[in-house]
Amino acid sequence: MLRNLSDEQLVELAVRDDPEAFGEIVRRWERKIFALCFGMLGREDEARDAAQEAFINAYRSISRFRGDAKVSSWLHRIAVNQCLTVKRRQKSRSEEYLSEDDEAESRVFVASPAGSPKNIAEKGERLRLVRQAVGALPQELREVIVMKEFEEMTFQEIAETLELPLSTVKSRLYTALKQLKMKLERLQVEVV
Amino acid sequence: MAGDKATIRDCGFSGQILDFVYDELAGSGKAAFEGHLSQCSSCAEDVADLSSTSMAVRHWRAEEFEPLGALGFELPRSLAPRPSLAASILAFFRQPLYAATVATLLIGAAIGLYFLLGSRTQSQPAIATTDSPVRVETQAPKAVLPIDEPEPPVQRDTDEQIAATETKVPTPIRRSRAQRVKSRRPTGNSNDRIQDQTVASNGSRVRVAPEDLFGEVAETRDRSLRLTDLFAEDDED
Repeated sequence: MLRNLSDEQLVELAVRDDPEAFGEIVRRWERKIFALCFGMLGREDEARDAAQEAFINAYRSISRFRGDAKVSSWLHRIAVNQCLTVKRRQKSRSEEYLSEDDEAESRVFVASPAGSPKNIAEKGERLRLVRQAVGALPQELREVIVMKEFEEMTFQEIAETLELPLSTVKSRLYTALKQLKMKLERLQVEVV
Repeated sequence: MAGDKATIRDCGFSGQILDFVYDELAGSGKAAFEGHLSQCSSCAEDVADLSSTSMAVRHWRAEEFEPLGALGFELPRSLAPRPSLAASILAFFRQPLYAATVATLLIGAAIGLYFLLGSRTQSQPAIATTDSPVRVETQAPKAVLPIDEPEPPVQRDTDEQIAATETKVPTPIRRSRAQRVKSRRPTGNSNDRIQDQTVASNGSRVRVAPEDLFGEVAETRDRSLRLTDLFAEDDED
């Protein structure tokens, strides 16, 4: 029954203390919000925590949802804010800790049993550099490229979600891809 | 290079590059753009750059995100909504049996209260108009002071003033009965008639006992007895 309802109708039910309705909203959007958080943060554990925290924040503030924006826009905004909060916390950590963390991740990739060690190491290194380059983009550019590549949203959906003109979305994505290419070239990543 | 940029701007297809890269161009538009790519090297180069960068990000997504399981989000129990007291009461009354029972009880209580109050009203006297007890306040008479005039300051007498006052108090003198009767008889002087009235310090007249009675009062401390004695003396005369 809940599956036939729109997002807005589910929110109305959730406002009236119907946790099942909010559960349906979560089921519809959890994968996309998780992908968004993963693209924004680049780590599974942090993305998982951020996505969960975003849904909790959404549930806590659901009574303040007025319906002016779409539910997807509202959820994306909460998730992006949560990712920014996590990023700020990361900045407060020491640089040494971050570098050690990255090295540990590289060791994990090297130790993986699948494929030849050399290929696995190269692939792991390439993925790490892409992740690093995406993470170094400005927030508004990173947001657009993650929504396009990870959530596979159309330009129109991104524009509606971010409440931006379509031309602005395309301009941001174009700039994001160009900057990313430059960063990857600087990092000597072979872009296929 | 500047010429290339001018070509990109002027070719009229620059706004469709991203649509083409992400396959969001409609059928006829896509064919037109593909035809343009064979003629415009700048657009072709741009498409190649954007596509390769996009592919790198997609590769990252496919390698690291796709294998991940579902988020498995569950609303914490501490956040689950708890029904409020009002909602609980409303839910209780939504059940017809409970609602009918409570309604019957309320009606019974109202009828009982009506008869109880009626019997109490009949048992009370007719004068009583309210059930509330009449409050009788027994207050000591208060001194009334003029509104405009301030309360006279309390003056503490010095030792000399107290001594002078004591000297003015007449000493009780034992006089004979004839002298006492003579002094009681009116002499026709108007001043004598109001001899028992003196003017107080605030201007009001205060009734004061005659001077010769002080001796009797001092002796007996009972005015009624003294008057009886006087009438007895008149009878003797």
